[in-house]
Amino acid sequence: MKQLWLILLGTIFLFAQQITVKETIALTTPQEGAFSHPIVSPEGKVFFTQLNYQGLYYLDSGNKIITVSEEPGAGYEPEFSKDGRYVYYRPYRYENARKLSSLVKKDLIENNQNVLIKDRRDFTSPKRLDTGAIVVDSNSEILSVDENGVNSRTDYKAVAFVDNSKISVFHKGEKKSLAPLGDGHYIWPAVSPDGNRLLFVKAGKGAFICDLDGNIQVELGYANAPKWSPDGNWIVYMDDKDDGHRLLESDIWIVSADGQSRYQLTQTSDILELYPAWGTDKNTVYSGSDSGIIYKINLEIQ
Amino acid sequence: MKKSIKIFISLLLITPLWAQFEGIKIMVNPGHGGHDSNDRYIPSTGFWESDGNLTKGLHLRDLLEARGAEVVMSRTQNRTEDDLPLSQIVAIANSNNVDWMHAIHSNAHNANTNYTLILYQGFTNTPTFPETRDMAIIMGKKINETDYTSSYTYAGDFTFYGTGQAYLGVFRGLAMPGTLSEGSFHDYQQESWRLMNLDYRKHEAVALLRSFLEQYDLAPLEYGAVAGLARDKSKLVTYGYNSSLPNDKYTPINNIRVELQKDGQKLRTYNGDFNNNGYFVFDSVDPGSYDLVFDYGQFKSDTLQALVTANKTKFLEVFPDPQTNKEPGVFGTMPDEAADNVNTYSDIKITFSQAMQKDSTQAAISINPVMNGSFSWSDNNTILMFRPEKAFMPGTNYQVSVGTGAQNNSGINISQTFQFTFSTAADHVYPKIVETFPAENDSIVTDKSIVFTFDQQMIPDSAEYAFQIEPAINGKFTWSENNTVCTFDPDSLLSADTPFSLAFSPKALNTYHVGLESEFVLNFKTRKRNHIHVVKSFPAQGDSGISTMAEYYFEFDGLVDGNTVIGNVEMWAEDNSQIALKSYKLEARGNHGVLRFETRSEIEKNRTYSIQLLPQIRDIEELPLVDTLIYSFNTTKKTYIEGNVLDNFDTESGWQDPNSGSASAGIDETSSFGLSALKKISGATSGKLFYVFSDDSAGICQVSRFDPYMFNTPDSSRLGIWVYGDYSFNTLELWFDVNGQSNKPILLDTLNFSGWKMLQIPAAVIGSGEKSLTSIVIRQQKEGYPEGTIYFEDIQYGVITGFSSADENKIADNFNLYQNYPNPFNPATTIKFNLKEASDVKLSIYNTLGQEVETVFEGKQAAGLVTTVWNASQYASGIYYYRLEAKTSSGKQFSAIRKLLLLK
Repeated sequence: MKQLWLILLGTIFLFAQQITVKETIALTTPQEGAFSHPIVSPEGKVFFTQLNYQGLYYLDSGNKIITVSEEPGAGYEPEFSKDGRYVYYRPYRYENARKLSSLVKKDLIENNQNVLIKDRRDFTSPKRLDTGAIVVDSNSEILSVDENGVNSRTDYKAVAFVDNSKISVFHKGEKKSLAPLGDGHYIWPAVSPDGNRLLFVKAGKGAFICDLDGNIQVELGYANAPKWSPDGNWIVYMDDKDDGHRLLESDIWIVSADGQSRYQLTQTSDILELYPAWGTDKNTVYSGSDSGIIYKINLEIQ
Repeated sequence: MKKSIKIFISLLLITPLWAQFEGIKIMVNPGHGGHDSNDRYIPSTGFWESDGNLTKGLHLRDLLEARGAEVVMSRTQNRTEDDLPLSQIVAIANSNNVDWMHAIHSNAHNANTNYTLILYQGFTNTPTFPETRDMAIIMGKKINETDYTSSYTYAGDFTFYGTGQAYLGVFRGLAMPGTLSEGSFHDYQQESWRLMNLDYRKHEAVALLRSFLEQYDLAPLEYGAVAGLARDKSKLVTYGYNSSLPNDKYTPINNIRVELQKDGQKLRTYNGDFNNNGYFVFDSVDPGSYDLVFDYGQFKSDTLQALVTANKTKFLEVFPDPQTNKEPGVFGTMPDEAADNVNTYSDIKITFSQAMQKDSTQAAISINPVMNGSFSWSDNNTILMFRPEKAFMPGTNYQVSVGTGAQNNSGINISQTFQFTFSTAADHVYPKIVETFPAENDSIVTDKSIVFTFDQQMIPDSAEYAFQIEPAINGKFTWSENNTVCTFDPDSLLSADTPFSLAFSPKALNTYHVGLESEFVLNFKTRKRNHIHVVKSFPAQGDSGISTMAEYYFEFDGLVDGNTVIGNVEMWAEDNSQIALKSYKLEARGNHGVLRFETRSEIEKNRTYSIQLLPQIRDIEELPLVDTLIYSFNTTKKTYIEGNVLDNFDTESGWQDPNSGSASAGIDETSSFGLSALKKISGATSGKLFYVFSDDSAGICQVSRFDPYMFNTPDSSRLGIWVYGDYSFNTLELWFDVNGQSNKPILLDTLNFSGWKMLQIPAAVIGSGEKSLTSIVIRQQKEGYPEGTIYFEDIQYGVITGFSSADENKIADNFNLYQNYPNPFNPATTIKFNLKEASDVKLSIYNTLGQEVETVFEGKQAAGLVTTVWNASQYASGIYYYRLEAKTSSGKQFSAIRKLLLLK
């Protein structure tokens, strides 16, 4: 059993309203490796990857690091089955200077795996529909790659991908391409938990929330790698600054989904917190950091 | 093995060059952007790194796409918004799932270094992606061939920056190999001038293309290039040079002209620029032997031979000899000889081989049919521009002649008349208005100027004459330097809430006297108001006695855009130090926006602070704050020492919900009372009362005790309670049973404050003798806000207010009074304090009535940690206070007070 590292003791009260940062805990140590990009499975397991998405790992109940895969790319935006038993990830290899990706389904209980897509180019990281189906965006079509084919059902909530720097929304059996703010690069799109709103960042313009037709509802300002809270009321993001060469500072903030209230969860000049993710409830946020430590931030949002 | 080589060769042969990269996706990231603080600028040459990187990046894109690659550009322009955060650049590469990411930069160091550096992620010899090191070696060598750098090198960022871990942000989290080229050093002045030549930049992109071809084992370029620098050995530069690049000490020749010839046949001509680099280049040249003929300016004609090899750049250095008696000639014209469909209001440009004498040359120019116009010269009198007074006639042939009377600066005539012809387009291209502020049907505030942008240079007088506005209002026009942007500033404010219509008639003329093709009309409206204002605030400007744990409250006459608040609220102490603020909260009160915030930690007593709201704060309609608003206030002088606590609000027992209050009236059923950890002074929680009055007035919200608190305290003593006010302007009362009177209401205060404040009343006001606290009551006031949330902490009697000396609680660094230990204690306890400087010190013990009962220590004390022991064997159990006062010889004062508990 690994010892948890408590880096901030006590409670920090963040302003008025309802937010309290109760504690921030280091979940990994530098000796164990440099980890990044935490993501939480439906059953609350914390997954993360290594530098440049090499490998996919998670913490078991005893806080031991379990290796899912050591392949390159395995840690890039993995997806989970509804019950968290299966994890879907997209490792890659190079052949003839071309990146060939596969989609792997791993059973975390039986510890075996199926290769669902083998050595293809140009398909996105997987997303789970609320029907349970796993889909990827591959050029002009949405492929259902596992469980409960989607062809017969259209009542699932929308999911969003990036397709050629535009947002593609898969909804009611159709794929729609959106560029709500005109030409440019759209990144980090995510449909809200209720399925009605779309969060995205337009490079150089900031983060926005729009409806599924691309009508802008809220401008969130500078907010990188934003993620919806499980209840859809909050968005966590990193406020990273650089000089064009290297990161200078980064902290984790949350902003209410109406853009009106904003709270800083970390304020550390010596730690650059990066790429946050919500836990299974709104009171837990995870983040990576420049030194490769994964942190857990316990909040109280009332 | 032989077989596979054969297959590879045959593949090369059958793959068309335009499809070499087919199926490969490359991201090109021209570094920096936006001419901002992240960018790098060389004032002496006018070079911006973001411009250089973009030229190289766009050309690399074109080269790669021409060979079948799919290219993702992180930016294609150079606006502020194009200066992307590195994390976004990485996200673009990842979400597009590219095969390779390359970032293009130039370097800076000490203004005397100029080598090529290629970086990648990882340690130099163990990169994160092994192929990046291979690429870096190739790329370094290729760029060193096209750029005039002394050498090349390559490194992993972990090694190069000595961090041993991820350093360059453009590689952090990249899910594919990535490289970054620092082609050359733009702060080395000679190189900076070279980088001002667009062809020099583009040729670096050719080196990058060659690198990708080699890295990917694709067929190398079938053609080569010849480039070089022409310099005058008779003149030395006035700035320093790199000793590894010794020819950089010679002055580059501007406006060079080089002909590429093969077998005496002229193939191409390169005209150099005026940016002090002497650079020339011929790209895409078939392999073979060529003559490069230099014949320009007042230099002797010279011919160099160059052997061009496929996929390589032959770099020449040329040092022609000056020749003072050389005849001038014409190098080129615009429009070109025999050009047709020429715009009717073109200028005529003639480029000479040498600096010319203005008067003789202008006199030697003739145009047929005759056109009047004006001359201007540039580039050291080698370029002559003729601007006609009016547009050329449409559909007409013109002939331009430069007669032999034209002389160079030394008085030498051109040897023969030079002539060229062109024909104009069938019709004019009419000037247009391409942008306006406001836009069509916009709503604007009444103090705005109106701005029109034309696509051509206009004659201001004509445009102003052609301008109309309804309703009519006088104003002044100002024009941009090039007369394309016209600003109309009304002499007075536009009428509010009014539709306006503006028009330019076709009489608005461009500088060639061609008017708009048709009338241009713009409609817009004005808004009802121009700014938002603060209508209420806590504190108000000049307030005093403000709690050191206040919540600051600003109510605006509009709903505030939360994004505009960030960074635009500042708080300053009187020593000009900035006070850290916690995150703010915005809420709506009807049409009003309310901004609340607290300081990150308690501020000091008896000090002046000021809060500044900056005009960047805007409402959701983008109306700005009227001005920078400053609210200065003084904090309270008072220090409180806790008395006997009746309720610390750490346990919930004993208080009724307001809906159960027998005197409650006119409250909504959502009103509630409970404990909360969100706000507190001590312990785990405070009492939280949320109330909503359902009517306009006369509401009473009563939180009563099941079991009233009985207490007795001298009339001279005080009863106090910490209250976190909500600035609702309702009133807060405590009710007592006293002297046979039930629920006697005692007004504590109006809730005209926000944040924590100690509210007190003398015991005598309640009534003499034994009394019982029965209720806390909010009484609705007509001017009050109908709902709010307030918090309570530590209702107590025997509160001590005092020690209100001017320097109370002035906490200097390293003056500290520590908590005693053990605590509780019997009979002795240790008290420690720390002194930054030697001081006169007094450490005293007080009882709960504020009376000094013992002096533990008094006298001079050296700096450092002091440990004392107080023996309380002669005192009764109970709460006592220990207070430290320290005064240094320089007059600095420090005092602090803490509580201790004697339990026998």
